Amino acid sequence: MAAIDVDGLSMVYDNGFQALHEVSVSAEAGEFITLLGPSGCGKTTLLRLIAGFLQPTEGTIRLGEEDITGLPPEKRDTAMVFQSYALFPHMTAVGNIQFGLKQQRLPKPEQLDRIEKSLAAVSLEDQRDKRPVALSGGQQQRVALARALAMRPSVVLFDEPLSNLDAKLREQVRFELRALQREFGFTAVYVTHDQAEALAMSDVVYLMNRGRIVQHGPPEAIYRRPNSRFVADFLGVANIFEGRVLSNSGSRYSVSSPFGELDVESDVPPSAEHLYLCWRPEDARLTSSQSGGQNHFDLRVTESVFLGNLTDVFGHPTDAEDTTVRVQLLQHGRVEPGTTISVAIDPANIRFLEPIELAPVGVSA
Amino acid sequence: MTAATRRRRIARDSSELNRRRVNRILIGLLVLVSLVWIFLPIAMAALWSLVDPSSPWAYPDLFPRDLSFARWDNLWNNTSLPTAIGNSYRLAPAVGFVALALATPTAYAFGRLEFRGKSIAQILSLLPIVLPSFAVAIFFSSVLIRLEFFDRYLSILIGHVVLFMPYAIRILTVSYAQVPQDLIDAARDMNAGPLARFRSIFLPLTLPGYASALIIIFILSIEEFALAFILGSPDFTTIPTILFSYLGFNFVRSNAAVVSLILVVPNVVILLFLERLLGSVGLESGTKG
Amino acid sequence: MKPTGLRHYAKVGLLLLPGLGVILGFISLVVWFAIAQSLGQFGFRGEDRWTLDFWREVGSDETFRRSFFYSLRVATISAIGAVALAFPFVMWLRQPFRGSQSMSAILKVPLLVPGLVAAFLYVNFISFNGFFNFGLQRIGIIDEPLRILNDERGIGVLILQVWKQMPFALLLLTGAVRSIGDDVFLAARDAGAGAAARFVHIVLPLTLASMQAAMVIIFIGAAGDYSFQVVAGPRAPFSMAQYMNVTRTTGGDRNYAAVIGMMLMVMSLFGSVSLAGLVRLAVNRGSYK
Ligand SMILES: Nc1ncnc2c1ncn2[C@@H]1O[C@H](COP(=O)(O)OP(=O)(O)O)[C@@H](O)[C@H]1O
Ligand SMILES: [Mg+2]
Repeated sequence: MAAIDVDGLSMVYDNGFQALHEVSVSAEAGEFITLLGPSGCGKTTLLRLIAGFLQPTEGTIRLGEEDITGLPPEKRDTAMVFQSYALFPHMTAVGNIQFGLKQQRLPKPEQLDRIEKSLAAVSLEDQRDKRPVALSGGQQQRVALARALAMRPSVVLFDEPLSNLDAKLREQVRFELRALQREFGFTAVYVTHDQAEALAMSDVVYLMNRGRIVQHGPPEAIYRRPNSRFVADFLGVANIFEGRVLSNSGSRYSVSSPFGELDVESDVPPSAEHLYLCWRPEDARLTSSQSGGQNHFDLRVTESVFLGNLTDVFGHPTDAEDTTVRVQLLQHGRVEPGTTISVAIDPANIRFLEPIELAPVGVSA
Repeated sequence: MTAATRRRRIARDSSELNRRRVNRILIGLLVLVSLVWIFLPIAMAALWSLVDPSSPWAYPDLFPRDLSFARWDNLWNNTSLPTAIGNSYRLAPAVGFVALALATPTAYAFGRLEFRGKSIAQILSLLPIVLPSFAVAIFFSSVLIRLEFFDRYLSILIGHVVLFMPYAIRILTVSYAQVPQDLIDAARDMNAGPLARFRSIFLPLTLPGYASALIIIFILSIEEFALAFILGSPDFTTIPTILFSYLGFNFVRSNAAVVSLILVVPNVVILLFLERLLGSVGLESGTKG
Repeated sequence: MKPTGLRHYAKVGLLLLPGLGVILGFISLVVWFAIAQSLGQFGFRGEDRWTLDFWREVGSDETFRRSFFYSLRVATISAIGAVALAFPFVMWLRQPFRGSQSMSAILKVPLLVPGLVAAFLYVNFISFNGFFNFGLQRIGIIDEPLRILNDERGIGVLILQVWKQMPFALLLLTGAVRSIGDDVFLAARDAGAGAAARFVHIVLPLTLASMQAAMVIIFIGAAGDYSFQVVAGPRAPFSMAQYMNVTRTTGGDRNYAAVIGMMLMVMSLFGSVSLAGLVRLAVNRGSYK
């Protein structure tokens, strides 16, 4: 049974704007799921619906067995960590943590016990009597986290909690968050627009665009098997191109493309004859130009950037001047612009994406 | 759509509707209350100022029988109202400009310089607001008598300037503090001397503050009663002292109505700009400091 | 970095002179005069001497005692009443909805009506043949008009004070509540706090400073009121300002008037500070820290 189950949620704001279109999301108990997407795609809206700050136009939200769709936030077993932290400015760190416990009317010893545990969990014991203004950004973030943990919610909702921290701290807190989650055993719904964060932290990533879930799955799966140009492009870097499926035998397809005829190995059949495909820059292998093997083509280099662990090379196929390609070569030195290199792509590393929408000539009903 | 979600949808829609309905009822109530609370009294004042003296307005007439400008005529021609209006409108702009001029250096110091005791100095500058103005007026008049200073106009001018300078200091302090230091540094970088910096940066950027302060002080001075009454009466009248003479023990309703309407004129003009004015002054957020 | 050194402080001093300097000079002169006058000086009857007689007089003056407590009561009720009335509107208008802007504009109208005009509107409304009586007669609730002007308990004065000052409290509190930030309210809900708990534990402590500022200013204004009292207040007791003026003019006793004025200032100062302190105490006791 899922710890949280969001089913067919739609949200239309008072001004008539539809921010969510029949969104479904679920997480097992103790799972860490991430809502990932560009700014404005509806992540915060979805999180606030789960928290109960907003009421959906349609759909249901379940927590365990219970349908909580109509419950106010104060009656839900969720706790939110806000992007702005939303600490109570007139209360100390302890005061902030204790607020919710007092609202629940827990016995005093239980309150104190939980405060100690939460403070220890985020290593803030020596900042306990400071008000938010006297704390650094990272410390405020920890108080916000401790405040949520102290409620012992079954689900913790995170709205871009790390976006106000500097890069170093951010990476450190990622690990700590996962460790805390294992320790306290809550289910996490984590919102971010940072793909690296999503890939690093999640059990399951839900990729959102314009109020819809466009793909979900474990990080490796959606990184390796994007189902659309949007996903391919948003998660990492991809060379996206148009192709036409010519023939197939089993899971092996032959496709015409700007790179010439390509072999594609795919369990998932193409969605149309005429469609988009992609491959990742790091999947290109350097070959010798004489080999002329499978999925092999020559690249005229226009730009190259040496980044230490890899070299980023931009260029175009010698027989398709208007197609720009990016390849990333590991453990390789500089490549001079103007030279030609030969690369090959493993057929299993090329993905079918969505069909190419033709200009509507004869519309099928 | 399943039955459950449909039910959910209906439930949400009705709670949504409820909230809107409650708001609409509250709005309706407030409009009704403010009608009785604010607009009806003002309308009554307007009507009373137009009651013709020949046929009094009394129960059970819903409206006066004859309307005319006779009261306005009479007040204008046979009382000191024109003089009072002249006095008030000679006083208020002068008070405004003198207060702004005197407040400027202090506001600059408060807004842009650091020095020990600044917060105490800022609190002290509010003293005229927190002293009961009627008592201050009486003691000030004693001081003036003692000094044998009998120029009514100047006495009231001085009193008003001191009384309202805190507003000017407060508003201008915010204006000066909000001028970005980067701009000033940039101007210095381009070899602008103090005078050039003042003209090209401070003046344009603080101008809205000056305008707001001037308007506010103008209004406060026009309305001010205690000082004008204590220092001016009986021979130097302003609009509020005239109005006062028609209220109280010898209540002359129609005359009071006329003077009230005259007194409220500048405020009505400003009412149109109220939100913008308050916004530019930063009064709403600036009161906690 | 705070610049130090003589030059800097000389500059600050010069800058403060025309603004703060004038204010402090004026206030000290007036306060010194008040003290001296209350101690027998400047009586303008040619027999000045230093004496505590006039202060002793206060102890046995029943009229004084009644005025003092009357003004104290009016000031306290006005300050608390205006703030208490403003809070529901502040919370209602915290988040914008259709029509909320117009509502807040309507609520602020009294801010722009001069005090004396407000007094006239009230008197006109409530007087023997005013609209209030007219309306009640029309509906048939009463046969004869009520004489409710100058009611003995000062209800009229209280209505006027609250009418005039509520928008001022509204203005200050709106600014304070708006600066709390939506997320903080949501976080409180998330932690299980209902509307009442949010108000007590979040809104009240975070608006305390603005609430105190509003109360102090309203308290002082109402404690020193003259015009509302004379126009709409009871014939007895006097308000402090009124009693001071009566003593000075009718009684011709400037020294005793000075004592009353001093007491009024003391009441304004200590009364408003104690009220602010009590409010802080109440808020802090009620809410979590
Ligand atoms: N209260 C609101 N009223 C109307 N539209 C809103 C409201 N809040 C958010 N939106 C719109 O809904 C969309 C999704 O917003 P949000 O959930 O905040 O996106 P994200 O968190 O992914 O950046 C945006 O286009 C935003 O403009
Ligand atoms: Mg967001």
